[in-house]
Amino acid sequence: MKPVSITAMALACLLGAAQVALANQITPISSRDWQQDQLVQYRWKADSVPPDWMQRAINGAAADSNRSRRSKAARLGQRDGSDSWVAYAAELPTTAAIAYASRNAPETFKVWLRTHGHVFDWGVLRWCQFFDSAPNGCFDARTAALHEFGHVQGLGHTSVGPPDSIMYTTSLQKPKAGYDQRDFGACDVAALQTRYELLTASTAVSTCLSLGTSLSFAASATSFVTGGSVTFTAGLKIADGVAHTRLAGDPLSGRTVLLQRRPVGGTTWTTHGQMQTAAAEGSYRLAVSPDGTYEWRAFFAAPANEGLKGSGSAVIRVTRQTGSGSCQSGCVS
Amino acid sequence: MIGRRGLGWLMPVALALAASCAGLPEAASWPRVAADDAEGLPPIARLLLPGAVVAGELGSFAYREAYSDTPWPDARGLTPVSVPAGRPQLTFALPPGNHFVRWTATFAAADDPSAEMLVPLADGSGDAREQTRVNSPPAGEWVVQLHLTFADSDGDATYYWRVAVP
Repeated sequence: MKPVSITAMALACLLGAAQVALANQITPISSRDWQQDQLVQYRWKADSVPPDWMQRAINGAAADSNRSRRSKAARLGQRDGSDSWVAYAAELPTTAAIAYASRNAPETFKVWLRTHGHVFDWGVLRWCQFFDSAPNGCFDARTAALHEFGHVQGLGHTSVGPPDSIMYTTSLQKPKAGYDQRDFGACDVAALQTRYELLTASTAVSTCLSLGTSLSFAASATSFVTGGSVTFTAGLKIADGVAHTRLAGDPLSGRTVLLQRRPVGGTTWTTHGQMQTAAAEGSYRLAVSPDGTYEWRAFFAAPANEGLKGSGSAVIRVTRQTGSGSCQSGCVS
Repeated sequence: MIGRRGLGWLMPVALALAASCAGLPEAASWPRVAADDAEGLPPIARLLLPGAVVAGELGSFAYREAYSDTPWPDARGLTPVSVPAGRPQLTFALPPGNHFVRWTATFAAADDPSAEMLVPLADGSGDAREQTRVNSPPAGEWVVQLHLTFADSDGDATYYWRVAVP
């Protein structure tokens, strides 16, 4: 091994912490939006129609974009006669590029992919899909097209490589890690979610985000008689104060929200049960038959697989009525 | 069409200043390069050295709704730049009036054609600025990559220099 390579390896080891510092950066995104869930279709440019293997790769990338956007970012699809187009061409607007895109959201976009066999100063461009058995050094056309569709969505480049972002600054060749990634990375999805909101209230929030949450909490009654029941309801949403204002206040469904209780004056919470998802988005409920007077709250623990912070609700005291005294407001039996 | 080779006679540009000018050049005295005026291209970052201002080779960029994607460049296509001995830091700058808010510098051996062993050099973010200073790589022949995210959400660009460090 050459000394210079040894030096580089040593530095790579020593500077590992710096690589960690590159993580968790939201991919930058243009402020020019498509409409939420806008269907944006493309045609093959008339004088630059891709060969079948490239068309399959491009359409596959459009499907990858639609599947992995996890947001209301634009939906992409191929349809003849569309205003937007994709070209497979020897000439691109910049000579060093293997792929290029431009956009005029929310109207149209253009994507170019360089022709297989094009000669650059670094060598000959080879698309992996051209081969039955792709050689090292080829570029995955489907990944390159997904990267371009990321640009179509407005995403810029990031120094965070795959798998956290497919919008890496440098086009990757086989067999580099991530050269054939089929999904937007977590930090790409984070950008799309902050720009276009979650696809549904149940969509997982990107782990590249760290959003505060808030829990509202109510009880059907604040006192009861022995044998009576109380129904607790909670509402989980992204906190109003988060920096990504487009997501602020959005409801969160399908999460694990716990109903907890403690003795009056106590400090330790005990989980009574998991609240069930109610009909309204972000709503949860659970009916209980308390055996005494307790303080209750709803609790949402930060999930390991989502970019959400945990939260706890306000506390409600529910009192058991004893004797035959008249029941005050909110009393159930 | 705007291309790597098309700008080859200008980029990288190494403009020798007066021999007595040992410090960094004054921003106001910086020469312009044609790429600064090229429509649709981002501003070209420079490596500032004593007596020389070296324009970077433009790689991938996302700039004002135009997006260009390139692989790691062949070091043989880059103009060699020698860092004077005893200079522990490299200064990168945009032309006056252009600002960035985030930067990442990495490097790989010049004989590593696809940057298999890419090494972080520095990264940072903060208020909009025209230049940043990073530690120089160790002695050797390197390709240094600089990725800048521009201020005002104008996009980003990647630049390359072939640097020899004594």
